[in-house]
Amino acid sequence: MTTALSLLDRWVIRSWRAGIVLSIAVLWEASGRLHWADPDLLPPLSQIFQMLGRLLADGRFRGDIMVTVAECIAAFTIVVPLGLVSGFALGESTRLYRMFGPALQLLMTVPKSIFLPVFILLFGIDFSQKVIFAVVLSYFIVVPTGIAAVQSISADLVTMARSFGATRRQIYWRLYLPSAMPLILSGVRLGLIFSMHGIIFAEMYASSEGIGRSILNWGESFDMVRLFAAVLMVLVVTVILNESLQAIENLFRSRFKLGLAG
Amino acid sequence: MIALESQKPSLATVVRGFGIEKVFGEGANAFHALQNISLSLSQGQLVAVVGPSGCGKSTLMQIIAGLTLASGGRVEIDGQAITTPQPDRVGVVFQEPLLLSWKTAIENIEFPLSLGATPAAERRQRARELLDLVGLEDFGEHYPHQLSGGMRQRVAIARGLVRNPRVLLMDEPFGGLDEQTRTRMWGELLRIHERSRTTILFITHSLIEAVFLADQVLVMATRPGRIIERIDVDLPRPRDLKLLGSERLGAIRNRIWDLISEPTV
Amino acid sequence: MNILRKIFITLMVLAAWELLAWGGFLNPLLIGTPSMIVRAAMKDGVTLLVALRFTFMEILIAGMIAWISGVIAGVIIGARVRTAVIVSPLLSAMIAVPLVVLYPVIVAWTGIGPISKIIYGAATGFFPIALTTISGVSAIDQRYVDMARAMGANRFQIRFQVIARLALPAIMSGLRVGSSLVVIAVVQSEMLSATDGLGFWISYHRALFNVGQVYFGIGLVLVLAAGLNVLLNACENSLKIAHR
Repeated sequence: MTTALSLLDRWVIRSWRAGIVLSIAVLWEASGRLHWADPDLLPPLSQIFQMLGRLLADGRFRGDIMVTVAECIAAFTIVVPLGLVSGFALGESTRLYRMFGPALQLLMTVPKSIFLPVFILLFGIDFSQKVIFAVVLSYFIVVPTGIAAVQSISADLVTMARSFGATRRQIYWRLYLPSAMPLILSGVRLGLIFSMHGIIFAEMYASSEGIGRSILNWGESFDMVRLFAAVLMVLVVTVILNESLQAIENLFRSRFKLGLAG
Repeated sequence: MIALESQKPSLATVVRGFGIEKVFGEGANAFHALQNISLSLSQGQLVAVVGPSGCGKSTLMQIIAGLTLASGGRVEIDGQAITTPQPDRVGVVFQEPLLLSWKTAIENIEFPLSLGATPAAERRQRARELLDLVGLEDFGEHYPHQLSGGMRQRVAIARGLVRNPRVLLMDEPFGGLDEQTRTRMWGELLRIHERSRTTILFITHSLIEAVFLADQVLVMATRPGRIIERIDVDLPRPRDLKLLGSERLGAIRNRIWDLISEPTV
Repeated sequence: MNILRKIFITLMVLAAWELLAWGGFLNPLLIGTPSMIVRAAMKDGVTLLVALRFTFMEILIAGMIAWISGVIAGVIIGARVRTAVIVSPLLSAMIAVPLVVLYPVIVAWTGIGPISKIIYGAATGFFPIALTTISGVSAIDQRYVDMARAMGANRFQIRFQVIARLALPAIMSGLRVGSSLVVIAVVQSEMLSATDGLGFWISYHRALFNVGQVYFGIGLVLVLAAGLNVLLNACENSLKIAHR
């Protein structure tokens, strides 16, 4: 289905997409001004943007953003290497896979958010507790991508490299890494996304600071304008991050089109 | 008067196999993949190995390439035993091109050199030479997915030759190609062999391919894997594609076919 | 024999757990002991089991809505290459986003009752199901469709007999992903603000430091997840058999 699209085609498609997003924005604004929906519940978009501007100038709000960002970065930098290395180990060694594989599968089917109360009982509601929770949540998402990355490497390619005298180290760095790059990158992207999910949820559930907490508070006090402003900001930032990482992933993917015979 | 004319210049023996054995499993379940295989290739010779499926042809090649250890006997190249991959003495071409999809054609050819300590300029120079040798001068910067099947296999052949090995081993190198491309590749291989004068040992399922390309055909049988006949192909060189329809070639081919299809000798 | 061994090991672990807490090595207020869990079950078990049913119903309804709307949307959008290419990235962007931030909005609109959970859960499940359905439909070999048209099938027949069947494996995997996301969404939203349901009660007891109830509740969630998994497998198998 994905045939090579001409440049014109690509821009037409992008404009259609932009058009869809813009129409939603326009309808939103119209609904606010023309009172299609209760403007207290669905404020016009312009009002929300204005509020966002004010919030970003506010020190307290910026402080919350910093806390959330710091938590996300901490969780991300822990879970991605940890998860990928675990995945590599499990993918390479059938022994380890048989030992831990079933436990992994089991834990993946469980909604791990339910353990958050236990984390709170054990660690309180501070920075580290949220980070640990997010790490545990995203760990089980990153590990399978690590496994898939290792399994995607063709055994024949390794034989070929061996026949030309490649050492183990050379095989790892020159063969495994480039060949598994697209999947490794998707592991990075998923690690980031699920870390963010975990952090924000933990903040909303029980925290004294952070964007998630503010969002929940504004929701409870029906301060819809601030609520939407923060929500919109989170949505936009997440989409930008996801799309950038996805674009990098696609770049690698197109160069590694036919991993095996090439 | 008589003696001088009958003297042919003796060519050095490059590859020697002495009583090679390969056994899988043990005791009652032992499977003799190879039994008492002896062979000898001289400089510049093109030798084909044919046989029914499961006669151990690929195992034999793996042993000579140093990728597997023989259970008994030995392999020598220029008098030195082979027990591990010796990329400077043995080059290998597999049935699948097995090119690295993230490297260009010329980078793929360089690959064996890049694993060692050859300086970059020298590597590039050598790779260029081989790119020209296989007739892909204009395609050096192309990526594998931009090349046709036949072209990819030619890159693989160039890669196998880049370290100037004493022998090039080829395991059904043209098996994945359609008939027309395959025939063209026979011409290509003969041309490359003409220019580089490399010793080549190749495995094939196609009897016609074996007879058309080789100086000598080793016919193997299965269970246990062993050589049942060595046939010298005395068709004139350089071999013309027109030979493919000739009676002489057909006769040799039929002879091999009879040998292979006879119930276990 | 294997089962007996497993049971024996589990009992040993439980006993060790209890003893460690007794001996003061583990703080019972934080870690809890098996005996506390049993006592909690006897005290509040009924409420929690009712909560289990409540949560289960929310998940079921949200799941059904997500499934049906997701598959229909997927088939319609996926039918044409153009629309599929344009819309797919928008849908996948929605999956990457932490939709949990939208939950307070939904609560502000519909209150903290089960409706908000169902809406939120359905929204969460909709996107992955629609996306995988689109990719399943797009991947269909056009030749089958041409063949069906040549045999005289009309648009509806093609859509539901040919396309739906050929896309079935992709749809099934989408349902799996969608379902697990729905479960996560419902559980999370109950924890944040609710009137009933396992998430709600677990949070309630956590605030009161009723460790036993917290663990019992979590155990019930695990049972729920396992039960839903079994249900899903049964669904998958029956669909596979029906669509041989």
